[in-house]
Amino acid sequence: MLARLVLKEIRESLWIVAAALAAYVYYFMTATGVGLGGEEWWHWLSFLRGGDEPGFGLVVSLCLAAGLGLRQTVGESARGTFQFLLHRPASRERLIATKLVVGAGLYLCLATVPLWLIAWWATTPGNAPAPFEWSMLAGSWKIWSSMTIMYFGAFLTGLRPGRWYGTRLLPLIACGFVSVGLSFLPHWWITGLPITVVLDVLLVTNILFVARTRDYS
Amino acid sequence: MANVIETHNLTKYYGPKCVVNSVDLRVPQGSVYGLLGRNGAGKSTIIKMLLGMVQPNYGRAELFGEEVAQLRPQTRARIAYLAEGHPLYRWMKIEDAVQLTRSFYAQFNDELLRKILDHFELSPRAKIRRLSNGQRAQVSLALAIAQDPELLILDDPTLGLDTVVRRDFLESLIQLIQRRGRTILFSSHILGDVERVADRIGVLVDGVLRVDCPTEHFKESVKKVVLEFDGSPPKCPACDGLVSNRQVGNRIELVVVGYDGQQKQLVESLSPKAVEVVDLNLEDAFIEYTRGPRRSLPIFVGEESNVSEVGT
Repeated sequence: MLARLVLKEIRESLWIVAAALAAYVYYFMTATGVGLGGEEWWHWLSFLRGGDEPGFGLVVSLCLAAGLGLRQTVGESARGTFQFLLHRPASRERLIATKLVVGAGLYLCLATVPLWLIAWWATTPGNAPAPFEWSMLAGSWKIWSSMTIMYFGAFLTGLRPGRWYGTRLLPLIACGFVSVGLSFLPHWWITGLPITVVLDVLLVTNILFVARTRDYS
Repeated sequence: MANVIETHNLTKYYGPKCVVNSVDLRVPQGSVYGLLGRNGAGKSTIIKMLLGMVQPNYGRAELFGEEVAQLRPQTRARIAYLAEGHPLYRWMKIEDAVQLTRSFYAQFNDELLRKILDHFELSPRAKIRRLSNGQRAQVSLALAIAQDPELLILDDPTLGLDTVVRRDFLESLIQLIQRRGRTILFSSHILGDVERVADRIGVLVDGVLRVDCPTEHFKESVKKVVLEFDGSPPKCPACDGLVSNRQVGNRIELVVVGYDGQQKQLVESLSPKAVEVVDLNLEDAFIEYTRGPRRSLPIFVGEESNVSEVGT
């Protein structure tokens, strides 16, 4: 059962995955200059100078996380397919948790793609004029981590019924601000990371509660 | 006979509006129960509460003796549900929908599914988004039957289907019913469909279950009594069992439940010139019973409405 559900969720998110991959490849190109050319190397390799500037990567991760969360919930509501899925002989928490694991897994895997590409490119001899260290991408890893809040916030927004768009979109907007803000907190390992973990746990708990108690009418 | 479905005081509010009001529903094992009502009467809401899709504000529902809120997966595996509009994942092929559905049910009957799809002339490789409404209904029915359910719940299964497809769908349903011990609950507002398959009906009026009885009993109970007068008819007083009365020229048309005793006395007290008692078919009986005070061309007739209950 789980395998079929996982396949369904992946299949339904394929176009978001494809769009995000294309955007991440472009981000990799802008970070390294590969394929863009025309400028000196110091114009591109900001991460080598300790100035990881993942502005474009942040936008892509934000959109990917929000897109996945909304796709997995609003899509089911709009097509009425929650009625197809949720009466099956499996607990509602299990069905929703499967969606969450697939969505969060897709986000976490995809969002590392440009980082692996950059690391691969930077460690290939002849490309970068300095040794590569993972700490050079610290900013990108912080974004990678804190955007999980955006994913769960988007999922909650799609799942949670609300009479007005304002109240309905509240988790999405709040989680957007929080996840971006957390990426830039000083002393991130003792501030940003614990807050991210706590918020993720709270959001997942709330999602499972809403999934169990809301009306699917 | 044990009840497969039981509800106790089931009540649901959407905002201030009570859409299901203290419904006590009993569906015996092996019966085919037609839940009738006009649009917005609360049929779909009751069905969704039975499946745990909608939470009641008050009351409770039990399926196979288990509270709906605590239904075990093993019990859920005994229930098949066809939702209104036959929602399916449109990007899938029929075989994808089959594989997804099969993964939930240990007792899924592939051989039966293949026969049903053959019967409906549906290829497993057909894309669901290219199917007509009727074909999607057939796929949904095939998936439901192949689960080999003991209880089949259908929410307005023939909605949007043309006459031929609807007849075909119902005949398939009748074949399914012939399996001993299987219970079916379905909602509809197409009375011909209900008359064809249901052995028991419930009629919802504004969220209240006004009727819960065998289909034949309902048809026999609701009658139209036409009273003819020489001049202008007198005003008709209210009495138990009087559903509605309306004046048409020199006549009064009464719709009554169980035309006997009190209603006969009422008719005699009005001293009509002639009395005609008309048997109604299920559709006419349902319409007279549920349509309430608003009717077509109200300018030309005077009328009153007083809905009464039909019991077992």
